[in-house]
Amino acid sequence: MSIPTVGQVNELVAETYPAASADGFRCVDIGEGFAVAGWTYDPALDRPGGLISGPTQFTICDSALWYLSFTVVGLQPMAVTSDLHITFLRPAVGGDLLARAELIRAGRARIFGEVRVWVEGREDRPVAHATGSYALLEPR
Amino acid sequence: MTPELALELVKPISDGIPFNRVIGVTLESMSPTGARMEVAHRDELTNNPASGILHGGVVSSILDVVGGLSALSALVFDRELDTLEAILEVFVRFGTVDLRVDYLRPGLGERFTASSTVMRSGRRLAVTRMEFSNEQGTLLATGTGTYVTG
Repeated sequence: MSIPTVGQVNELVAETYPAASADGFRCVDIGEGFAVAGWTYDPALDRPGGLISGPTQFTICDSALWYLSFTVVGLQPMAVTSDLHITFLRPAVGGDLLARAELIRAGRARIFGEVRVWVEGREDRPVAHATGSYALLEPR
Repeated sequence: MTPELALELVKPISDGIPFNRVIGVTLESMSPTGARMEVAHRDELTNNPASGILHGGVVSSILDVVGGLSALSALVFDRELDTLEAILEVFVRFGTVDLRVDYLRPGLGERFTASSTVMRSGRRLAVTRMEFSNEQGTLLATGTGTYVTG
């Protein structure tokens, strides 16, 4: 099974789940055992205090794990979030977000991954960390 | 503060905790960013001696313990806590706020290693990431923990 390209991932997401790419979320890198999601900063979406909201960070984690599933099963959109747990580590302020998902285990029907989120340019100061799993509706 | 001195000071505290003694988990190393513990397989720690699979509660307990100890380790090095009294003064304020465990594979093995790294150590909370593996290096479970540290 070959790893899809960034362009193929974004094309699939735009076709099958337009809402997931309409708010500035996209795949920016993908390879064996990892996928990176990006989100374009929009000040209009700041929560009180000028902070990038928790739901925004949760969504980018979920997106990164979804892209990660494509490295395991190929470009099959029918993998769904089974669970996702996020820990907010510090305030996320004023910039594009990046989230790198890494594969922990690929089972027959579920994949497990972890995600680190940071504001672009500050990878050494993660703003959130998540662990979660995706259920493969068509088991391998 | 050296890793050897930190271990010498904290190991008696950790290994002496009654629950840790029941499980048989021991502290083996400490660093400014983490800690490592080990535990040997015993029938008393399994769901069923015939299966030999470690009980999930044992795995989560050890992940919790090693996560907490890595948070303590970060403070020991950061604040240069070089006496038993200074460490105990900090440790008695510790508590688990949140613990999440992913069980990845059955807990099979003869000897297990639990390791933890600190992702962030703040003024009041520390967030850690933990792993639980057997002697063959097979990753059996992962966890994340949040601890109140002050």
